[in-house]
Amino acid sequence: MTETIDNLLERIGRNFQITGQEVKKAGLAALHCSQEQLHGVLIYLKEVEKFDTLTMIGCADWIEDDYFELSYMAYSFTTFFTVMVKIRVSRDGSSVPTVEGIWRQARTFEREIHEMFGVDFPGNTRLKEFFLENWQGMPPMKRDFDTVQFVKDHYKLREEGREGACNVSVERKKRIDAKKLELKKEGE
Amino acid sequence: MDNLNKKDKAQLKELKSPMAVVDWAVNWFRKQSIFMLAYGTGCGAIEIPPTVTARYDAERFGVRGAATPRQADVIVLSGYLAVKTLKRVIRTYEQMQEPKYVIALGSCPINGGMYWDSYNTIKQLDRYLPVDVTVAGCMPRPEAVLEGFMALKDKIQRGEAEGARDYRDNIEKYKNNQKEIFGDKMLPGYTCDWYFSDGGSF
Repeated sequence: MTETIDNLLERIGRNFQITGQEVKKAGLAALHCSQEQLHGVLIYLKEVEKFDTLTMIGCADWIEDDYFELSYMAYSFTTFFTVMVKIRVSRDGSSVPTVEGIWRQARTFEREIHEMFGVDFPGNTRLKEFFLENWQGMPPMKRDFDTVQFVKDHYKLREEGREGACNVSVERKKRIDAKKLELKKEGE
Repeated sequence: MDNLNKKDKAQLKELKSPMAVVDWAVNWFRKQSIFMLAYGTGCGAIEIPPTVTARYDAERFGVRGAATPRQADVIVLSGYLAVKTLKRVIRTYEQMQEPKYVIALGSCPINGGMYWDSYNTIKQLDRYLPVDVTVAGCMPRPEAVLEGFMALKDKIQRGEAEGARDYRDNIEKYKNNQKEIFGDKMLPGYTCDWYFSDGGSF
């Protein structure tokens, strides 16, 4: 019997409390579970179903419903399936224990999410600043972060126009005329 | 004299004093060989390889790559600069030996470009570094990049490419502007010893 993603989801559903699941397309499935079930599901995927690698951890900010959705994407090199395990955490002061112990690369993904969304990952050994240096205040990828206001406060935008600003089309015509004249002279 | 083109000869005839001729000659030699340090910061990094390779062949104009900042004459900043990148760029620029020039590609270093409302890219490069030539475009094609180099060569020949001197003379202004975005994580002092040895206050 060939392995299908439906069989896989059924096996996971037998062992864990899955609150929702769907097959997005061939070889890609998403399943929702609670935060308590997350580590169990991921360890099961890695050790029993041979999902060798964690491709990424995504984070989406659902500000209207007041939660972050974290998606752990695991990939198998034997069946070529991708499984997204999704959990929901609250937007303020949320913390999810790290999965660094399962896949080591999770350390970097979590570091980025920590910086961009402010989700805490207790147990992560390298949760320091990543892209942003010396960042204070609200993490910038949260949707209530006002990026335009931030830019106005922190950077100087160039004022409209400058001294000696010229009309581009007029200047271009002048240049072309001068070039023509030059060519004409060379031709003579 | 055979290697001089018409424009050069016309310029030479206008020079009055012998010292002016020496200056002119020094600038003429300088502009013939420009070693470029391509600092690929944004999307413009992809325009540099075609510029220097067979198709557009920048070496026709004496423009070629340099291995390290200390061997380079011009630093090409290709695209937007994140705050973190800018810090590295300033360190690189301060390591370069004079005469040194800066070419900025694309609209992002000029006014922020399409990243004008980004929290993490700077909006005006010339507040932090003395830019000699900016090439507008998003991104400028290799022809435009070469045109930028031609403009720089003209500027060198006229003796007007004085970005490095401007940086030295107005170091207070530049360092203040840099401090605005770096805050207390300023560059370490040894990156510009010539400034800090004079009792700079940062």
